[in-house]
Amino acid sequence: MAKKKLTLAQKYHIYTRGLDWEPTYVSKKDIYPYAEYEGIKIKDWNKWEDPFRMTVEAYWKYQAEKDRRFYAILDGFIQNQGHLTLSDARYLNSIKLFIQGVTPLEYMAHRGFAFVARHLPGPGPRTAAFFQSMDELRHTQIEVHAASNFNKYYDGFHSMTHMHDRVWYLSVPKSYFDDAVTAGPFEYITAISFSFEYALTNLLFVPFMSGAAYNGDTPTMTFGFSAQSDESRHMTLGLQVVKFLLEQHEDNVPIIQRWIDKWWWRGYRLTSLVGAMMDYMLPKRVMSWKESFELYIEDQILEGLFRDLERYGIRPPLHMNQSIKEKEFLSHDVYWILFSFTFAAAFHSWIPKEEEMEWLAEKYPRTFNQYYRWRYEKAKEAKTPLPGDRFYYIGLPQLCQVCQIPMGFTNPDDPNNFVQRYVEYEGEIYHFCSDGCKWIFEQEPEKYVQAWLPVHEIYKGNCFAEPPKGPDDVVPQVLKWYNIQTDNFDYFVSEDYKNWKEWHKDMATVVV
Amino acid sequence: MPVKALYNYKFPPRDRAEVFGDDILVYAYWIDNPFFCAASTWRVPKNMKWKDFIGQIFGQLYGLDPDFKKVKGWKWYHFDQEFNPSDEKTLTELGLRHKSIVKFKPIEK
Amino acid sequence: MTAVETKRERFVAVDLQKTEEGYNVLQAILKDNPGTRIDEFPGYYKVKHPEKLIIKRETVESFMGRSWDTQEFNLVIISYAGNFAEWDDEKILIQWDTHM
Ligand SMILES: [Fe+2]
Ligand SMILES: [Fe+2]
Repeated sequence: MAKKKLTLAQKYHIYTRGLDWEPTYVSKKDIYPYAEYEGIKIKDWNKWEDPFRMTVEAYWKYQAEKDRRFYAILDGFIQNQGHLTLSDARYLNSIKLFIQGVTPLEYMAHRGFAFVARHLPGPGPRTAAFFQSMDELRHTQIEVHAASNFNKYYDGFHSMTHMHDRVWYLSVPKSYFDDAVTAGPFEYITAISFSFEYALTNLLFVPFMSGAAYNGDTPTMTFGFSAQSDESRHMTLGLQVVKFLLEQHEDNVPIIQRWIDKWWWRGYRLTSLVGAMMDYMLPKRVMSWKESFELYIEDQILEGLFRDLERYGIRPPLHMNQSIKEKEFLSHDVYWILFSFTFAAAFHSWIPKEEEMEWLAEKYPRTFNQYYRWRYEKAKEAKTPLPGDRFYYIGLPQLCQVCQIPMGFTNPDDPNNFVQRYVEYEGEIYHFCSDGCKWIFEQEPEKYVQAWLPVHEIYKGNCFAEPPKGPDDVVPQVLKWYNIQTDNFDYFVSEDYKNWKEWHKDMATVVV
Repeated sequence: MPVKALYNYKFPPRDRAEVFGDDILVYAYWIDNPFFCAASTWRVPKNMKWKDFIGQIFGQLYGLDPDFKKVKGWKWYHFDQEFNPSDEKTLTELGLRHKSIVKFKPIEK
Repeated sequence: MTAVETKRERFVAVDLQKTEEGYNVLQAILKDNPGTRIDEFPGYYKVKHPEKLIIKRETVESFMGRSWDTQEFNLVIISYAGNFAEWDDEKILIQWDTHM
């Protein structure tokens, strides 16, 4: 009689449980020292159900196939001089932000999941976290490979890891992930697998990557969709972990709720950068920030996910309503911040063209013309001595103590002003961009009083290549320390623009 | 709520007043004018005179707004309290402290 | 500023790559799930259903013209909304409200 093939479920059970064992000469507590201090109670790890049932054999097979497809597309793009067929070189500024801000987080996620894969006492989730750790390393690699092609021709791609640790706007993603990896394994996995991957990565990896495709960047679309296909597995892990913890013990419910409240707002603030990328940096646009927020957050997360979680006693994140109220302001606020400080950034910005302003007005009929268009008109008048015929904010902004973004988030109830909050804690004052960030601080002030705020660090003299020779030398020394060379200022005075025109001078498609 | 940790979790604030010695950080914000995308941050001596402080922030930053020169005078707030700073007083004498925010808006005629 | 606009919908969804294989999987979904809606975007299809989506190995194979392992779904899926209520050798079922 022929041997019967094992079913997927049997294979997976043998794979994850069959290889685990009870320790005899070391205590479990010594093996898993981080398992209890967060207050999470687990009665029975065997209740864990593996939704994806991925075996090692299948894992290697399909991941290798994903990589083969990606590299074939990347090679085709390179051989074809694909960068010349992009919609416009302005597009690449969104990819600069991606490679400087997101790719280093993929690497941190690799490290974070390696930690979880080592420290969760249950073999099922440990295996899933181990796969995810490898996935994240793959994401880092394919993103770096895609960017290295652009690095041959364009500014802003040359120093991502160095910049990630230093540059002011990159302290936003950096501090977000540092916050997560310095938490315990259960908070980390709730923060990243659940709050970030289930709720927020869709915004980054689906409509934005569709935008990359629309602008002619097939390698970015492919790494984006390739990464997000792993993300489907990660989302499942996140959802399963949260449901499992909620079912294990009722004492876990308030802890998980607090983590969901915190990490929704942390992740949402981080994702606001994607809003600016989508609405302003893609020359050809697929969907506005507001539309993708409605589809991926309001429909899928609020109407879908959180109604599903009600029965466990979980409600939607505490500051979700503020996110909804902000949806017609957020991307405009963030782009205006990026625009204002482009003299100190490793990407270019520009005044939107008239047809782009019309698109913004059409997508945001209640806010763009009313609160934002006039700023760009004024920016043409308010010139500075710096290169580019337009305004730059010649100074340093006030940063939020928690999200570290300049405090420029419009108050929807008073749209000519920004939300400003502060608290006094042990004799010192701390400022926040929102009730969400203030609430997060108040939960764990000891953590956030240590924040490395780029503006304060500059004022403490910690961000100079060499001591400045005078007031005019301050910014140049900071830029040198950042390793920003010709990567900053307005697009229309950039090397990128000059080269782009040169490369297209015989072509009818030249973009002016 | 304290941070949950396996050890006594307590660290000095990174940007506490003493780190800045005789200087303080002061934030400035032009009310109702979102042309400036956020309030600004300044490191200034505690005993700087008020007129020098506003000379610096107006001269370097806020004067860039083409509407700035139309302004006849300013109404001032320390945090949300209205106050009337006199030019010759120092920041300390006016009650400013490390990480104070001063807000201002044009006086209507 | 008036009150925030909102019109919400509950559905399950999968986002599929716009590739040859993605197209075949999409055809199989349409056949096995009456009432499915598709939104097309550059590079991907968004497939929505008010209740559930089932992907059957046999139907996919009939569109592919070759054998197809349900694990290969990993190569065409970009994202989804819902739970994987079942995933075995024969089918994949996505819906909300599943208990563990
Ligand atoms: Fe990733
Ligand atoms: Fe904040």
